[in-house]
Amino acid sequence: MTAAGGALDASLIEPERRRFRAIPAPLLPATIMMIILLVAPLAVLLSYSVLEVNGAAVEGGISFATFGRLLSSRYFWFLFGRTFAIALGVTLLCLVIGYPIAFLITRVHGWLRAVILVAVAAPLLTSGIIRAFAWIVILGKQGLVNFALTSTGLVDEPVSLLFQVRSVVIGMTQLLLPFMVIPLISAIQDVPAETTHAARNLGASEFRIFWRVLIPQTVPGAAAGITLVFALGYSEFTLAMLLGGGSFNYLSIYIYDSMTSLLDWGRGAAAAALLLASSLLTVVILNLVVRRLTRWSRQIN
Amino acid sequence: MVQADQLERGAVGGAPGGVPPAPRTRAADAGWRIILHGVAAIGLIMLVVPTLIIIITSFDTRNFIGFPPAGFALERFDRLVHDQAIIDAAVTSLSVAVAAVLLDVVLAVPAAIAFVRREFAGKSFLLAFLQIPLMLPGIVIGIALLIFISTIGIDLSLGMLVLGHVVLTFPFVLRITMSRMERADIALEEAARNLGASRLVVFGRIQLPYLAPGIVAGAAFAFLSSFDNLTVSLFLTPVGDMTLPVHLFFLMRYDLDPVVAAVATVQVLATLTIIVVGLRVAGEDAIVST
Repeated sequence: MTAAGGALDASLIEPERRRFRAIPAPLLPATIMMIILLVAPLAVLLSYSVLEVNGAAVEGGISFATFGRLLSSRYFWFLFGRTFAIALGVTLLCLVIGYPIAFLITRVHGWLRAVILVAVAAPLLTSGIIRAFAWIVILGKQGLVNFALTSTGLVDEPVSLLFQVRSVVIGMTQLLLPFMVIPLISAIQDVPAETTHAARNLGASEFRIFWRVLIPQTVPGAAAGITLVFALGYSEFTLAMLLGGGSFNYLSIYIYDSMTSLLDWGRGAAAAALLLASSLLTVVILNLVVRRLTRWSRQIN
Repeated sequence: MVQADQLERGAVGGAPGGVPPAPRTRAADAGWRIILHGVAAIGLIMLVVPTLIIIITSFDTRNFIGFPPAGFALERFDRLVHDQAIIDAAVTSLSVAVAAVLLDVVLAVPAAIAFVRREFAGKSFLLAFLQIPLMLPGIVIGIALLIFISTIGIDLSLGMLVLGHVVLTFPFVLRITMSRMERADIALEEAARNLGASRLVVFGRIQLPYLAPGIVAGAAFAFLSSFDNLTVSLFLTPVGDMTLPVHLFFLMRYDLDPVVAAVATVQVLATLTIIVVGLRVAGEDAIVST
């Protein structure tokens, strides 16, 4: 009782002082849970990627044969490149659409602002599966877009828009756009209003203000959005599976197929390890590029 | 002020021909504004339309998926309430989510208080460690747990699925509760301690009531992400006990059953209710910390 009280008082009086103390008891259950249910499973996953695995069972010692098989396969590199390109494309689309939306939100007030904020948050009401369903209703042969195209006479026959790369890109852009807009809003709000006013008074055009004042000052916010959208898009599964159709392939689908229908857990584990590693590497590189850009934009200013 | 100075150099010094004549600038400004607003409008329409389309489609009378609807009726909802497989899946999802959220709260609330009130070696490392699930792709967590469970020789069960969801959703409750705890008045706790209240009394009478709105917000968030989860459930769901997202996933993969539209509409309305109620209870906390 007294000992515990003393410890509490000390931490109240000198919160800054750093001395070695063990992890407090209230944190132990959560820490132990994460070690058992996250660290141990990830370790087993990694071990599966470097052990000889037949089907779902470990059969031998350490061997990098599975990685070797993957990395020497042309198809796997194609898959890698394709997943990377689609995630990057979605990120760029989110950036191009997200900036004007975030910009607009900071320029309007009252009910209009509320409506736009609700529009940005509205997609978060639906899961990936439901959104995939919505895109099937919109892009399908009997869907909204084809109805518009045929009834205006732009096309005679319904065109197929679903189950291709572009339907996946559209679906993923819509899914991830809020993750780009939200960090951008706070970044644009942090740009002092005087800077844009000053630029306007000095005769700068709106175009110039956007590119030379706003964009350079919001690079860190954009970086947060880019990192988030890329990482989520790179490992996206639901929309790739449901909007891509049977022949569409994506890294996450490859992992899913390895784990389920093909029952090749070694390959699934190795591909998952490569997915994680490449995603981390890309995020690190992106952040380095952004740091460079921030320095560069300061120099411009 | 410094920025304005920098800007002056950038804006004026950067234009080789000086400031362009006013009329041309105004026309260019209008053009640029149209482009910006046009792109923003397309983006906003893209964000909103899918949700609206789902709600409208769920009242369609046809037995295939299309738009616009041929008529308006409650047929799809009628099919939904008689579809035992969907109802069972929804009940499974609900039970899994409730169990996971309860465990989340039990684990996260004491942890959140300790993180804010105590100093110890490696605190920031531990905080980052406990939030790792937020940064990992769901599919990686899912297959890691699947391989782990089968390696130690446990059968898939709803209990294991709940634990998988706890890993995924625990960080939400931790973060939101912590951000509320950071604003708690330490003087109240000190006063109570000095008057002889035990730690348990301080927790039960002071900290817990203050944290309640944050806990509700965190729990609502955790509940929604558990209820909607596909990538972890897909690997851990026991045969014959599918969660709703897993059931819908297979329904959509193999034949596009229009009943999905009705499920989606119900889910949108339920989510909206949870968010509105959560915001009411939690006040600004939910927005501040998420």
